[in-house]
Amino acid sequence: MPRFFFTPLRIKVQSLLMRAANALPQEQREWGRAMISELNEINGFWRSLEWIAGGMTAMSKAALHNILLNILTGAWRKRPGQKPPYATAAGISFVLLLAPFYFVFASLLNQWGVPWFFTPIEHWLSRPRQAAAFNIISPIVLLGALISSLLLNLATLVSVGREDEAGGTVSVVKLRVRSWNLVAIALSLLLTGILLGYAFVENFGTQAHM
Amino acid sequence: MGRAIRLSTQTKAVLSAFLERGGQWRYGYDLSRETYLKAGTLYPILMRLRDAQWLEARWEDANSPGRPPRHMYRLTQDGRSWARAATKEAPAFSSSARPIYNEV
Repeated sequence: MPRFFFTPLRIKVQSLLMRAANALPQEQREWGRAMISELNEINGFWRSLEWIAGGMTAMSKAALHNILLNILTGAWRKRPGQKPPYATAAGISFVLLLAPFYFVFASLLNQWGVPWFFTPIEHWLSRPRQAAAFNIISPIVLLGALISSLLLNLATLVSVGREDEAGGTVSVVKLRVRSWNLVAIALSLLLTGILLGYAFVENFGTQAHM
Repeated sequence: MGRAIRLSTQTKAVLSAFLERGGQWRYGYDLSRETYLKAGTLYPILMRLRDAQWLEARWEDANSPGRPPRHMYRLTQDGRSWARAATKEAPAFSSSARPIYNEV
């Protein structure tokens, strides 16, 4: 027999979460609502919190996976009347670009005599084991984020297809112009260039201090 | 026609919980308590099972005002036979013995 534990706060939280679930893609919305509706059966603040946290994490992961898959595989193109997910791609890109941007920005400022932003990185690198981990992980994370951002926006803006023209079939490359996506692409390329340049100078140059 | 799915230990635990109650409709939190799986693990499994047509899901009829209806799940007819075959290899654990899972 379920024991209902209704409090005004719980009802408020539940209604807010239900609204938040509406922001999930169609595929996840029903599951988000299903998970939230179970809250009425859970007694105890921590159990409820654990349930919400676990469920929301799973929903967010599934939603992000769907969004990325939707953009990178071009699945949105197969839905009639569906607009390219410009804002989603640009939004995800700007989040992805945060880490590379911070690293490049902090390193450049450090080189120009402003060490504030680089100090936390330097502190981390002062321990040999952490420095070794950083050397392995940072190229993967930084370049991974940059390449993902680049691909995400290119997949949204560029499409390749075939069209009939004057009795023959021609390959057509279409480029949509959307300012935020172009900014994301430009930033990704710029940061990639700086990072690769830094890596080149660091490994092959004689005087590199970044 | 259902798709093949990855049958992790947790998925088998969920299938066992469904099989224990025959064709009954089950709720997410009840399944969570029975299998000791948290929402973050349980719901992706339920989603996968539903997408693969092992499970059917529906909302219960709203009968209490102010209380949102709950989502219910049960094995499809095919799902039941697939689940029986899948759990035969690794027998269902008893709900009185708490399993230890490392993977999420």
